[in-house]
Amino acid sequence: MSMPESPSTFSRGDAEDWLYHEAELLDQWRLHDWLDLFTDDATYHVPDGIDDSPAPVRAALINDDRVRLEERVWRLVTGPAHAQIPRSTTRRLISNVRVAGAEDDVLVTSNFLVHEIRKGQERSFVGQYRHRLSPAPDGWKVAARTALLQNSVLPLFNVSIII
Amino acid sequence: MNLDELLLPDRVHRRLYTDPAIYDEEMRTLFRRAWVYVGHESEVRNVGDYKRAKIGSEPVILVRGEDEAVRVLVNRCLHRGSLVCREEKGNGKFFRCPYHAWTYRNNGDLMGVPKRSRYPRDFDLGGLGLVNVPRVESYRGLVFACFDDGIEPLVEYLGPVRDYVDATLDFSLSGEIDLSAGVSRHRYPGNWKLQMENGVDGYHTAFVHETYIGIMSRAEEVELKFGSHGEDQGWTETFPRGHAVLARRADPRAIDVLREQFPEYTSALEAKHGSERLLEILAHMNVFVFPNLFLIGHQIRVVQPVSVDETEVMMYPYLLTDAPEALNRKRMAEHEGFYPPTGFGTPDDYEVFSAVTEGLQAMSTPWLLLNRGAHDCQDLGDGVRRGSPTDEIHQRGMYAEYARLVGSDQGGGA
Repeated sequence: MSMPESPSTFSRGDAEDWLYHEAELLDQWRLHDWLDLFTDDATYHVPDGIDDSPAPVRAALINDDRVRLEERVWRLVTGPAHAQIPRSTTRRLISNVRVAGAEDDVLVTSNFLVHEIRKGQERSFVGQYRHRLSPAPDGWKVAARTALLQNSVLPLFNVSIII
Repeated sequence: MNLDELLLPDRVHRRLYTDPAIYDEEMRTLFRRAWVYVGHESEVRNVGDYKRAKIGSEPVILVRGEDEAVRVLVNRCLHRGSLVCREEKGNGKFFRCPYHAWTYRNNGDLMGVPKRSRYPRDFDLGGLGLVNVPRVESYRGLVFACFDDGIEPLVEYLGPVRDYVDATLDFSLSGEIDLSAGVSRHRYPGNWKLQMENGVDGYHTAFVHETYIGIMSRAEEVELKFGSHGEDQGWTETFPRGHAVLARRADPRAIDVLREQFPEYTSALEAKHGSERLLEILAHMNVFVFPNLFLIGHQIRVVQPVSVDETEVMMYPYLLTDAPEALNRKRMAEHEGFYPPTGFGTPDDYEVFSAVTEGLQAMSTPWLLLNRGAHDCQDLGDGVRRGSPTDEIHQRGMYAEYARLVGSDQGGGA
Protein backbone atom coordinates (compact mmCIF):
# COMPACT_ATOMS: atom_id res chain seq x y z
CA MET A 1 0.00 0.00 0.00
CA SER A 2 1.51 3.35 -0.95
CA MET A 3 1.66 6.03 1.67
CA PRO A 4 -0.27 9.19 1.00
CA GLU A 5 1.50 12.50 1.37
CA SER A 6 -0.89 13.86 3.97
CA PRO A 7 -3.67 12.35 6.11
CA SER A 8 -6.27 14.35 4.22
CA THR A 9 -5.66 12.11 1.22
CA PHE A 10 -6.36 8.99 3.29
CA SER A 11 -9.73 8.11 1.84
CA ARG A 12 -12.41 5.76 3.05
CA GLY A 13 -11.23 3.38 0.36
CA ASP A 14 -7.70 3.49 1.76
CA ALA A 15 -9.07 2.83 5.23
CA GLU A 16 -11.15 -0.11 3.99
CA ASP A 17 -8.14 -1.62 2.20
CA TRP A 18 -6.08 -1.27 5.37
CA LEU A 19 -8.77 -2.78 7.62
CA TYR A 20 -9.45 -5.68 5.24
CA HIS A 21 -5.74 -6.43 5.17
CA GLU A 22 -5.59 -6.43 8.95
CA ALA A 23 -8.65 -8.68 9.17
CA GLU A 24 -7.10 -11.09 6.69
CA LEU A 25 -3.88 -11.34 8.70
CA LEU A 26 -5.89 -12.14 11.83
CA ASP A 27 -8.12 -14.69 10.09
CA GLN A 28 -5.04 -16.39 8.64
CA TRP A 29 -3.34 -16.45 12.06
CA ARG A 30 -0.42 -14.45 10.62
CA LEU A 31 -0.07 -12.80 14.00
CA HIS A 32 3.58 -11.80 13.67
CA ASP A 33 2.72 -9.99 10.43
CA TRP A 34 -0.16 -8.39 12.32
CA LEU A 35 2.26 -7.25 15.04
CA ASP A 36 4.34 -5.57 12.35
CA LEU A 37 1.40 -3.25 11.73
CA PHE A 38 1.91 -1.67 15.17
CA THR A 39 4.29 1.13 16.14
CA ASP A 40 6.76 0.52 18.96
CA ASP A 41 4.67 2.56 21.40
CA ALA A 42 1.30 1.30 20.21
CA THR A 43 -1.57 0.43 22.52
CA TYR A 44 -4.38 -2.10 22.15
CA HIS A 45 -7.37 -1.49 24.38
CA VAL A 46 -10.63 -3.38 24.98
CA PRO A 47 -12.55 -1.62 27.75
CA ASP A 48 -14.99 -3.28 30.11
CA GLY A 49 -18.46 -2.96 28.64
CA ILE A 50 -20.19 -1.41 31.60
CA ASP A 51 -18.09 1.68 32.07
CA ASP A 52 -20.35 4.01 34.01
CA SER A 53 -18.25 4.27 37.14
CA PRO A 54 -16.66 7.58 38.11
CA ALA A 55 -13.71 5.65 39.56
CA PRO A 56 -10.40 7.13 38.39
CA VAL A 57 -8.93 3.65 38.01
CA ARG A 58 -10.70 0.95 36.02
CA ALA A 59 -9.82 -2.53 34.94
CA ALA A 60 -10.14 -3.24 31.23
CA LEU A 61 -10.50 -6.50 29.37
CA ILE A 62 -7.31 -5.69 27.50
CA ASN A 63 -4.92 -2.81 28.07
CA ASP A 64 -1.83 -3.83 26.11
CA ASP A 65 1.30 -1.91 25.45
CA ARG A 66 3.70 -3.18 22.78
CA VAL A 67 5.39 -5.61 25.20
CA ARG A 68 2.16 -7.18 26.37
CA LEU A 69 0.89 -7.35 22.80
CA GLU A 70 3.99 -9.32 21.85
CA GLU A 71 3.38 -11.61 24.84
CA ARG A 72 -0.21 -12.09 23.66
CA VAL A 73 0.97 -13.15 20.21
CA TRP A 74 3.70 -15.37 21.67
CA ARG A 75 1.12 -17.12 23.86
CA LEU A 76 -1.18 -17.80 20.91
CA VAL A 77 1.44 -18.78 18.34
CA THR A 78 4.17 -20.47 20.41
CA GLY A 79 2.58 -20.91 23.86
CA PRO A 80 0.71 -23.08 23.49
CA ALA A 81 -2.28 -21.59 25.27
CA HIS A 82 -4.64 -24.37 26.38
CA ALA A 83 -7.58 -22.16 25.45
CA GLN A 84 -6.41 -22.42 21.81
CA ILE A 85 -5.96 -26.19 21.65
CA PRO A 86 -7.53 -26.88 19.22
CA ARG A 87 -7.19 -23.54 17.49
CA SER A 88 -10.18 -21.38 16.51
CA THR A 89 -10.98 -20.47 12.97
CA THR A 90 -12.34 -16.97 12.44
CA ARG A 91 -13.93 -14.86 9.74
CA ARG A 92 -14.23 -11.11 10.15
CA LEU A 93 -16.65 -8.67 8.55
CA ILE A 94 -15.81 -4.95 8.65
CA SER A 95 -18.30 -2.23 7.78
CA ASN A 96 -19.48 1.33 8.51
CA VAL A 97 -15.97 2.65 7.89
CA ARG A 98 -15.34 6.33 8.53
CA VAL A 99 -12.18 8.39 8.41
CA ALA A 100 -11.52 11.46 10.52
CA GLY A 101 -8.44 13.56 9.86
CA ALA A 102 -6.07 14.71 12.57
CA GLU A 103 -2.80 16.58 12.78
CA ASP A 104 -0.46 13.75 11.90
CA ASP A 105 -2.56 10.65 12.43
CA VAL A 106 -5.89 9.56 11.08
CA LEU A 107 -8.67 8.12 13.15
CA VAL A 108 -10.62 5.33 11.48
CA THR A 109 -13.79 3.99 13.02
CA SER A 110 -15.52 0.84 11.79
CA ASN A 111 -17.94 -1.82 12.94
CA PHE A 112 -16.80 -5.41 13.25
CA LEU A 113 -18.38 -8.82 13.41
CA VAL A 114 -15.98 -11.65 14.21
CA HIS A 115 -17.27 -15.21 13.80
CA GLU A 116 -15.34 -17.80 15.74
CA ILE A 117 -15.68 -21.54 15.29
CA ARG A 118 -14.00 -23.80 17.80
CA LYS A 119 -14.69 -27.30 19.15
CA GLY A 120 -17.95 -27.61 17.24
CA GLN A 121 -19.36 -24.28 18.42
CA GLU A 122 -19.89 -20.98 16.69
CA ARG A 123 -19.65 -17.68 18.54
CA SER A 124 -19.87 -14.08 17.41
CA PHE A 125 -18.22 -10.93 18.71
CA VAL A 126 -19.55 -7.57 17.65
CA GLY A 127 -18.54 -3.99 18.24
CA GLN A 128 -16.68 -0.96 16.98
CA TYR A 129 -13.02 -0.49 16.16
CA ARG A 130 -11.18 2.77 16.59
CA HIS A 131 -7.83 2.73 14.85
CA ARG A 132 -5.45 5.64 15.18
CA LEU A 133 -3.04 5.24 12.29
CA SER A 134 0.32 6.98 11.86
CA PRO A 135 2.23 7.36 8.62
CA ALA A 136 5.50 5.41 8.44
CA PRO A 137 7.93 4.75 5.59
CA ASP A 138 6.40 1.33 4.91
CA GLY A 139 2.73 2.26 5.20
CA TRP A 140 0.25 3.22 7.88
CA LYS A 141 0.97 1.85 11.34
CA VAL A 142 -1.33 1.42 14.31
CA ALA A 143 -0.57 3.90 17.08
CA ALA A 144 -3.68 2.95 19.05
CA ARG A 145 -6.27 0.27 18.44
CA THR A 146 -9.44 0.09 20.52
CA ALA A 147 -12.16 -2.53 20.22
CA LEU A 148 -15.43 -1.55 21.88
CA LEU A 149 -16.78 -5.05 22.34
CA GLN A 150 -20.56 -5.18 22.86
CA ASN A 151 -20.28 -8.72 24.19
CA SER A 152 -18.30 -7.44 27.15
CA VAL A 153 -21.50 -6.69 29.06
CA LEU A 154 -22.11 -10.45 29.09
CA PRO A 155 -20.40 -13.13 31.10
CA LEU A 156 -17.95 -14.50 28.54
CA PHE A 157 -16.35 -17.83 27.93
CA ASN A 158 -12.73 -17.60 26.87
CA VAL A 159 -12.02 -14.90 24.31
CA SER A 160 -8.59 -16.10 23.36
CA ILE A 161 -8.64 -15.01 19.71
CA ILE A 162 -7.63 -11.46 18.83
CA ILE A 163 -10.76 -9.34 18.67
CA MET B 1 -29.87 -36.65 50.32
CA ASN B 2 -27.86 -39.79 50.94
CA LEU B 3 -24.33 -39.17 49.71
CA ASP B 4 -22.79 -42.41 51.00
CA GLU B 5 -22.16 -43.77 47.51
CA LEU B 6 -21.11 -40.44 46.01
CA LEU B 7 -18.64 -38.99 48.45
CA LEU B 8 -15.80 -40.87 50.09
CA PRO B 9 -13.09 -39.27 52.24
CA ASP B 10 -10.61 -39.28 49.36
CA ARG B 11 -12.77 -39.17 46.24
CA VAL B 12 -15.83 -37.62 44.64
CA HIS B 13 -18.31 -39.28 42.27
CA ARG B 14 -18.83 -37.83 38.79
CA ARG B 15 -22.55 -37.44 39.45
CA LEU B 16 -21.78 -34.49 41.73
CA TYR B 17 -20.83 -32.60 38.57
CA THR B 18 -23.34 -34.06 36.11
CA ASP B 19 -26.61 -34.95 37.88
CA PRO B 20 -29.27 -32.19 37.75
CA ALA B 21 -31.05 -33.73 40.75
CA ILE B 22 -27.93 -33.27 42.88
CA TYR B 23 -27.61 -29.69 41.63
CA ASP B 24 -31.21 -29.00 42.68
CA GLU B 25 -30.47 -30.50 46.08
CA GLU B 26 -27.45 -28.21 46.47
CA MET B 27 -29.63 -25.19 45.73
CA ARG B 28 -32.24 -26.43 48.21
CA THR B 29 -29.84 -27.30 51.02
CA LEU B 30 -26.23 -26.10 50.76
CA PHE B 31 -26.91 -22.58 49.49
CA ARG B 32 -29.66 -22.06 52.07
CA ARG B 33 -27.76 -23.45 55.05
CA ALA B 34 -24.40 -21.68 54.55
CA TRP B 35 -23.43 -18.02 54.84
CA VAL B 36 -23.38 -17.00 51.18
CA TYR B 37 -21.46 -13.91 50.02
CA VAL B 38 -23.82 -11.45 48.29
CA GLY B 39 -21.77 -8.29 47.80
CA HIS B 40 -19.55 -5.63 49.28
CA GLU B 41 -20.63 -2.63 51.33
CA SER B 42 -18.84 -0.28 48.91
CA GLU B 43 -21.33 -1.38 46.24
CA VAL B 44 -24.23 0.00 48.32
CA ARG B 45 -22.46 2.92 49.92
CA ASN B 46 -25.39 5.39 49.89
CA VAL B 47 -28.97 5.18 51.12
CA GLY B 48 -31.06 3.66 48.34
CA ASP B 49 -28.12 1.98 46.58
CA TYR B 50 -28.88 -1.55 45.46
CA LYS B 51 -27.37 -4.34 43.44
CA ARG B 52 -28.77 -7.67 42.34
CA ALA B 53 -27.21 -10.94 43.44
CA LYS B 54 -28.16 -14.58 43.95
CA ILE B 55 -28.10 -16.97 46.85
CA GLY B 56 -27.76 -20.21 44.96
CA SER B 57 -30.61 -19.98 42.47
CA GLU B 58 -32.61 -17.46 44.53
CA PRO B 59 -32.60 -13.94 43.06
CA VAL B 60 -31.99 -11.30 45.73
CA ILE B 61 -31.33 -7.59 46.07
CA LEU B 62 -28.60 -6.20 48.30
CA VAL B 63 -29.90 -2.78 49.33
CA ARG B 64 -29.15 0.00 51.80
CA GLY B 65 -32.46 1.23 53.17
CA GLU B 66 -33.55 4.70 54.30
CA ASP B 67 -32.47 3.69 57.82
CA GLU B 68 -28.95 2.99 56.41
CA ALA B 69 -29.27 -0.71 57.25
CA VAL B 70 -28.05 -3.16 54.62
CA ARG B 71 -30.68 -5.78 53.78
CA VAL B 72 -30.97 -8.69 51.43
CA LEU B 73 -34.46 -8.92 49.90
CA VAL B 74 -35.77 -11.73 47.74
CA ASN B 75 -36.28 -10.29 44.25
CA ARG B 76 -39.72 -11.78 43.62
CA CYS B 77 -43.09 -10.06 43.71
CA LEU B 78 -45.46 -11.58 46.26
CA HIS B 79 -48.33 -11.32 43.78
CA ARG B 80 -47.51 -13.25 40.62
CA GLY B 81 -43.80 -13.84 40.82
CA SER B 82 -41.99 -11.30 38.65
CA LEU B 83 -38.68 -9.79 39.57
CA VAL B 84 -39.32 -6.41 41.15
CA CYS B 85 -35.79 -5.18 40.41
CA ARG B 86 -34.51 -5.63 36.87
CA GLU B 87 -31.48 -3.31 36.79
CA GLU B 88 -28.18 -4.86 37.84
CA LYS B 89 -27.52 -1.96 40.18
CA GLY B 90 -28.84 1.49 40.90
CA ASN B 91 -30.37 3.76 43.49
CA GLY B 92 -34.01 4.23 44.45
CA LYS B 93 -36.54 4.43 47.25
CA PHE B 94 -38.89 1.81 45.85
CA PHE B 95 -39.08 -1.37 43.84
CA ARG B 96 -42.09 -1.52 41.55
CA CYS B 97 -43.16 -4.79 39.98
CA PRO B 98 -43.39 -4.40 36.19
CA TYR B 99 -46.41 -6.71 35.97
CA HIS B 100 -49.19 -5.11 38.08
CA ALA B 101 -47.22 -2.29 39.72
CA TRP B 102 -47.19 -3.64 43.25
CA THR B 103 -44.75 -1.29 44.92
CA TYR B 104 -42.34 -2.03 47.77
CA ARG B 105 -40.17 0.21 49.93
CA ASN B 106 -36.48 -0.57 49.87
CA ASN B 107 -36.82 -2.26 53.26
CA GLY B 108 -39.19 -4.73 51.58
CA ASP B 109 -42.52 -3.38 52.95
CA LEU B 110 -45.41 -3.42 50.51
CA MET B 111 -46.51 0.21 50.08
CA GLY B 112 -49.56 -0.39 48.01
CA VAL B 113 -51.26 -2.20 45.17
CA PRO B 114 -53.19 -0.56 42.33
CA LYS B 115 -57.00 -0.84 42.33
CA ARG B 116 -57.08 -2.03 45.92
CA SER B 117 -60.89 -2.09 45.97
CA ARG B 118 -61.15 -5.47 44.21
CA TYR B 119 -59.48 -7.13 47.16
CA PRO B 120 -61.63 -7.67 50.27
CA ARG B 121 -61.13 -5.15 53.07
CA ASP B 122 -59.67 -7.77 55.35
CA PHE B 123 -57.06 -8.92 52.80
CA ASP B 124 -53.88 -8.20 54.74
CA LEU B 125 -51.25 -6.47 52.64
CA GLY B 126 -49.04 -6.04 55.69
CA GLY B 127 -47.74 -9.58 55.42
CA LEU B 128 -46.94 -9.30 51.73
CA GLY B 129 -43.61 -7.47 51.86
CA LEU B 130 -40.63 -8.75 49.94
CA VAL B 131 -39.05 -11.62 51.82
CA ASN B 132 -36.15 -10.38 53.92
CA VAL B 133 -33.38 -12.97 54.04
CA PRO B 134 -33.39 -13.57 57.80
CA ARG B 135 -29.67 -13.34 58.49
CA VAL B 136 -27.41 -10.66 57.03
CA GLU B 137 -23.99 -9.92 58.51
CA SER B 138 -20.78 -8.44 57.21
CA TYR B 139 -17.12 -8.87 57.93
CA ARG B 140 -14.74 -6.12 56.83
CA GLY B 141 -17.25 -4.91 54.27
CA LEU B 142 -18.00 -8.36 52.85
CA VAL B 143 -21.75 -8.93 53.17
CA PHE B 144 -23.08 -12.45 53.66
CA ALA B 145 -26.65 -13.69 53.95
CA CYS B 146 -28.24 -16.92 55.09
CA PHE B 147 -31.77 -18.31 54.92
CA ASP B 148 -31.18 -20.47 57.99
CA ASP B 149 -32.08 -18.38 61.02
CA GLY B 150 -30.27 -20.84 63.27
CA ILE B 151 -26.81 -20.49 61.73
CA GLU B 152 -23.93 -19.38 63.94
CA PRO B 153 -22.79 -15.73 63.78
CA LEU B 154 -20.68 -14.93 60.72
CA VAL B 155 -17.43 -14.41 62.65
CA GLU B 156 -17.78 -17.87 64.18
CA TYR B 157 -18.58 -19.35 60.78
CA LEU B 158 -15.44 -17.78 59.32
CA GLY B 159 -13.35 -18.91 62.29
CA PRO B 160 -9.60 -19.11 61.76
CA VAL B 161 -9.77 -18.29 58.03
CA ARG B 162 -10.41 -14.72 59.19
CA ASP B 163 -6.68 -14.26 59.71
CA TYR B 164 -6.10 -14.79 55.97
CA VAL B 165 -9.02 -12.53 55.03
CA ASP B 166 -7.47 -9.88 57.28
CA ALA B 167 -4.01 -10.36 55.81
CA THR B 168 -5.41 -9.96 52.29
CA LEU B 169 -7.38 -6.80 53.06
CA ASP B 170 -4.66 -5.28 55.26
CA PHE B 171 -2.69 -4.45 52.12
CA SER B 172 -5.07 -1.50 52.23
CA LEU B 173 -3.59 0.92 54.76
CA SER B 174 -7.04 2.00 55.95
CA GLY B 175 -8.19 -1.61 55.74
CA GLU B 176 -10.88 -0.56 53.29
CA ILE B 177 -11.40 -1.53 49.69
CA ASP B 178 -13.66 -0.33 46.90
CA LEU B 179 -15.24 -2.46 44.17
CA SER B 180 -15.88 0.34 41.66
CA ALA B 181 -13.03 -0.52 39.27
CA GLY B 182 -15.12 -2.95 37.24
CA VAL B 183 -15.64 -6.67 37.01
CA SER B 184 -14.47 -9.53 34.83
CA ARG B 185 -17.51 -11.64 34.02
CA HIS B 186 -17.05 -15.25 33.02
CA ARG B 187 -19.27 -18.15 32.08
CA TYR B 188 -17.91 -21.65 31.62
CA PRO B 189 -19.56 -24.91 30.61
CA GLY B 190 -19.03 -26.88 33.81
CA ASN B 191 -20.20 -27.40 37.37
CA TRP B 192 -19.61 -24.64 39.94
CA LYS B 193 -17.57 -26.96 42.18
CA LEU B 194 -14.82 -27.12 39.55
CA GLN B 195 -14.14 -23.46 40.30
CA MET B 196 -14.49 -24.09 44.04
CA GLU B 197 -11.78 -26.76 43.90
CA ASN B 198 -9.52 -24.98 41.45
CA GLY B 199 -9.42 -21.53 43.07
CA VAL B 200 -7.07 -22.86 45.73
CA ASP B 201 -5.48 -25.66 43.71
CA GLY B 202 -1.72 -25.35 43.73
CA TYR B 203 -1.14 -28.52 41.69
CA HIS B 204 -2.40 -27.29 38.31
CA THR B 205 -0.57 -23.97 38.19
CA ALA B 206 2.67 -25.12 36.61
CA PHE B 207 0.82 -27.02 33.89
CA VAL B 208 -2.34 -25.09 33.02
CA HIS B 209 -0.57 -21.75 33.39
CA GLU B 210 2.69 -22.71 31.72
CA THR B 211 2.39 -19.88 29.19
CA TYR B 212 1.61 -17.31 31.88
CA ILE B 213 4.59 -18.40 33.94
CA GLY B 214 6.69 -18.35 30.78
CA ILE B 215 5.69 -14.77 30.11
CA MET B 216 5.95 -13.52 33.66
CA SER B 217 9.20 -15.20 34.64
CA ARG B 218 10.93 -12.38 32.78
CA ALA B 219 9.75 -9.98 35.45
CA GLU B 220 11.68 -10.60 38.66
CA GLU B 221 8.99 -9.09 40.82
CA VAL B 222 6.39 -11.56 39.61
CA GLU B 223 8.93 -14.33 39.95
CA LEU B 224 8.97 -13.50 43.66
CA LYS B 225 5.30 -14.32 43.82
CA PHE B 226 4.77 -17.05 41.28
CA GLY B 227 8.22 -18.54 41.07
CA SER B 228 8.06 -19.75 44.65
CA HIS B 229 5.71 -22.63 44.14
CA GLY B 230 8.14 -25.25 45.41
CA GLU B 231 6.73 -27.64 47.99
CA ASP B 232 8.60 -25.84 50.78
CA GLN B 233 7.59 -22.34 49.71
CA GLY B 234 3.97 -22.42 50.75
CA TRP B 235 1.13 -24.48 52.11
CA THR B 236 -2.52 -25.34 51.88
CA GLU B 237 -4.82 -25.21 54.85
CA THR B 238 -8.30 -26.50 55.50
CA PHE B 239 -10.57 -24.94 58.11
CA PRO B 240 -13.86 -25.82 59.77
CA ARG B 241 -16.90 -25.10 57.55
CA GLY B 242 -15.02 -25.88 54.35
CA HIS B 243 -12.93 -22.73 54.09
CA ALA B 244 -9.49 -23.07 52.54
CA VAL B 245 -6.22 -21.34 51.76
CA LEU B 246 -3.43 -21.78 49.29
CA ALA B 247 -0.54 -19.56 50.34
CA ARG B 248 2.88 -18.95 48.90
CA ARG B 249 5.34 -17.27 51.20
CA ALA B 250 6.55 -13.87 50.03
CA ASP B 251 10.24 -13.57 49.29
CA PRO B 252 11.94 -11.56 52.08
CA ARG B 253 12.91 -9.02 49.40
CA ALA B 254 9.24 -8.29 48.63
CA ILE B 255 9.04 -5.39 51.11
CA ASP B 256 12.08 -3.71 49.56
CA VAL B 257 10.72 -4.21 46.06
CA LEU B 258 7.47 -2.53 47.14
CA ARG B 259 9.39 0.21 48.93
CA GLU B 260 11.35 1.11 45.79
CA GLN B 261 8.11 1.95 44.00
CA PHE B 262 5.89 3.18 46.82
CA PRO B 263 8.17 4.29 49.67
CA GLU B 264 5.67 6.24 51.76
CA TYR B 265 2.90 3.68 51.49
CA THR B 266 5.29 0.85 52.34
CA SER B 267 6.62 2.67 55.38
CA ALA B 268 3.10 3.40 56.59
CA LEU B 269 2.13 -0.26 56.20
CA GLU B 270 5.27 -1.33 57.99
CA ALA B 271 4.67 1.12 60.83
CA LYS B 272 1.11 -0.14 61.22
CA HIS B 273 1.72 -3.88 61.00
CA GLY B 274 5.45 -4.49 61.61
CA SER B 275 7.68 -6.05 58.97
CA GLU B 276 6.96 -9.65 59.94
CA ARG B 277 3.22 -9.23 59.46
CA LEU B 278 3.77 -7.10 56.36
CA LEU B 279 5.57 -10.03 54.78
CA GLU B 280 2.53 -12.18 55.52
CA ILE B 281 0.34 -9.50 53.95
CA LEU B 282 2.53 -9.55 50.83
CA ALA B 283 2.34 -13.33 50.49
CA HIS B 284 0.36 -14.63 47.55
CA MET B 285 -2.83 -15.97 49.05
CA ASN B 286 -5.83 -17.67 47.52
CA VAL B 287 -8.47 -17.58 50.25
CA PHE B 288 -11.74 -19.49 49.90
CA VAL B 289 -14.79 -18.82 52.04
CA PHE B 290 -17.22 -21.67 51.55
CA PRO B 291 -19.28 -21.91 49.42
CA ASN B 292 -18.97 -19.06 46.89
CA LEU B 293 -16.30 -16.48 47.75
CA PHE B 294 -12.60 -16.20 46.95
CA LEU B 295 -10.11 -13.49 47.79
CA ILE B 296 -7.31 -14.02 45.29
CA GLY B 297 -4.53 -11.55 44.73
CA HIS B 298 -6.24 -8.28 43.96
CA GLN B 299 -9.74 -9.56 43.47
CA ILE B 300 -12.99 -10.61 45.12
CA ARG B 301 -14.26 -13.61 43.16
CA VAL B 302 -17.85 -14.79 43.33
CA VAL B 303 -18.91 -18.21 42.07
CA GLN B 304 -22.49 -18.30 40.79
CA PRO B 305 -24.00 -21.65 39.82
CA VAL B 306 -26.33 -21.44 36.81
CA SER B 307 -27.14 -25.10 36.19
CA VAL B 308 -25.45 -28.42 36.80
CA ASP B 309 -23.00 -27.76 33.95
CA GLU B 310 -23.04 -23.97 33.62
CA THR B 311 -21.36 -21.50 35.96
CA GLU B 312 -20.81 -17.77 36.07
CA VAL B 313 -17.88 -16.21 37.85
CA MET B 314 -17.56 -12.54 38.68
CA MET B 315 -14.09 -11.24 39.49
CA TYR B 316 -13.98 -7.77 41.04
CA PRO B 317 -10.45 -6.33 41.06
CA TYR B 318 -10.72 -3.94 43.97
CA LEU B 319 -9.06 -0.63 44.75
CA LEU B 320 -7.19 0.06 47.98
CA THR B 321 -8.99 3.17 49.18
CA ASP B 322 -6.03 5.26 50.31
CA ALA B 323 -3.21 3.76 48.26
CA PRO B 324 -1.33 5.82 45.64
CA GLU B 325 -3.20 5.81 42.35
CA ALA B 326 -0.13 4.31 40.68
CA LEU B 327 -0.33 1.30 43.00
CA ASN B 328 -4.00 0.76 42.18
CA ARG B 329 -3.22 1.11 38.46
CA LYS B 330 -0.46 -1.45 38.80
CA ARG B 331 -2.84 -3.86 40.51
CA MET B 332 -5.42 -3.42 37.75
CA ALA B 333 -2.73 -4.10 35.13
CA GLU B 334 -1.76 -7.29 36.94
CA HIS B 335 -5.42 -8.31 37.04
CA GLU B 336 -5.81 -7.60 33.33
CA GLY B 337 -2.80 -9.77 32.56
CA PHE B 338 -4.23 -12.97 34.01
CA TYR B 339 -7.90 -12.90 34.88
CA PRO B 340 -10.33 -11.42 32.33
CA PRO B 341 -11.91 -13.65 29.64
CA THR B 342 -9.21 -12.11 27.40
CA GLY B 343 -6.38 -12.66 29.91
CA PHE B 344 -3.40 -15.00 29.89
CA GLY B 345 -4.56 -17.25 32.73
CA THR B 346 -8.23 -17.79 33.39
CA PRO B 347 -9.13 -18.85 29.81
CA ASP B 348 -6.83 -21.82 30.25
CA ASP B 349 -8.52 -22.77 33.54
CA TYR B 350 -11.96 -22.65 31.98
CA GLU B 351 -10.80 -24.56 28.94
CA VAL B 352 -9.74 -27.30 31.35
CA PHE B 353 -13.09 -27.16 33.21
CA SER B 354 -14.78 -27.64 29.84
CA ALA B 355 -12.52 -30.63 29.14
CA VAL B 356 -13.29 -32.10 32.58
CA THR B 357 -17.01 -31.71 31.95
CA GLU B 358 -16.70 -33.63 28.69
CA GLY B 359 -14.45 -36.23 30.31
CA LEU B 360 -16.95 -36.83 33.11
CA GLN B 361 -19.40 -38.22 30.57
CA ALA B 362 -17.30 -41.39 30.94
CA MET B 363 -19.56 -43.59 33.07
CA SER B 364 -16.93 -46.34 33.05
CA THR B 365 -14.74 -44.25 35.36
CA PRO B 366 -16.89 -42.64 38.03
CA TRP B 367 -14.40 -41.29 40.59
CA LEU B 368 -12.38 -38.07 40.80
CA LEU B 369 -9.43 -38.54 43.15
CA LEU B 370 -8.70 -36.03 45.89
CA ASN B 371 -6.24 -38.08 47.96
CA ARG B 372 -3.06 -36.16 47.17
CA GLY B 373 -1.05 -35.58 50.35
CA ALA B 374 -3.58 -37.42 52.55
CA HIS B 375 -0.83 -39.58 54.05
CA ASP B 376 1.16 -36.62 55.29
CA CYS B 377 -0.67 -33.64 56.68
CA GLN B 378 -0.22 -31.63 59.81
CA ASP B 379 -2.92 -31.07 62.44
CA LEU B 380 -2.72 -27.50 63.74
CA GLY B 381 -5.65 -27.87 66.14
CA ASP B 382 -9.09 -26.19 66.15
CA GLY B 383 -10.00 -28.10 63.02
CA VAL B 384 -7.16 -26.57 60.99
CA ARG B 385 -4.95 -28.91 58.99
CA ARG B 386 -2.05 -28.04 56.75
CA GLY B 387 -0.52 -29.71 53.72
CA SER B 388 1.91 -28.95 50.94
CA PRO B 389 1.01 -26.39 48.27
CA THR B 390 0.09 -29.03 45.70
CA ASP B 391 -1.94 -31.20 48.10
CA GLU B 392 -5.69 -31.73 48.01
CA ILE B 393 -6.25 -31.52 51.75
CA HIS B 394 -8.38 -28.38 51.50
CA GLN B 395 -10.55 -29.82 48.76
CA ARG B 396 -11.26 -32.81 50.98
CA GLY B 397 -12.21 -30.26 53.65
CA MET B 398 -14.68 -28.58 51.28
CA TYR B 399 -16.41 -31.89 50.65
CA ALA B 400 -16.59 -32.68 54.36
CA GLU B 401 -18.63 -29.47 54.76
CA TYR B 402 -20.55 -30.26 51.58
CA ALA B 403 -21.54 -33.61 53.06
CA ARG B 404 -22.62 -31.95 56.30
CA LEU B 405 -24.93 -29.54 54.46
CA VAL B 406 -26.20 -31.59 51.52
CA GLY B 407 -26.07 -35.01 53.08
CA SER B 408 -28.29 -34.15 56.00
CA ASP B 409 -31.96 -33.49 56.40
CA GLN B 410 -31.36 -30.98 59.18
CA GLY B 411 -31.31 -27.24 58.75
CA GLY B 412 -33.14 -24.59 56.79
CA GLY B 413 -33.92 -26.25 53.49
CA ALA B 414 -36.93 -25.14 51.50
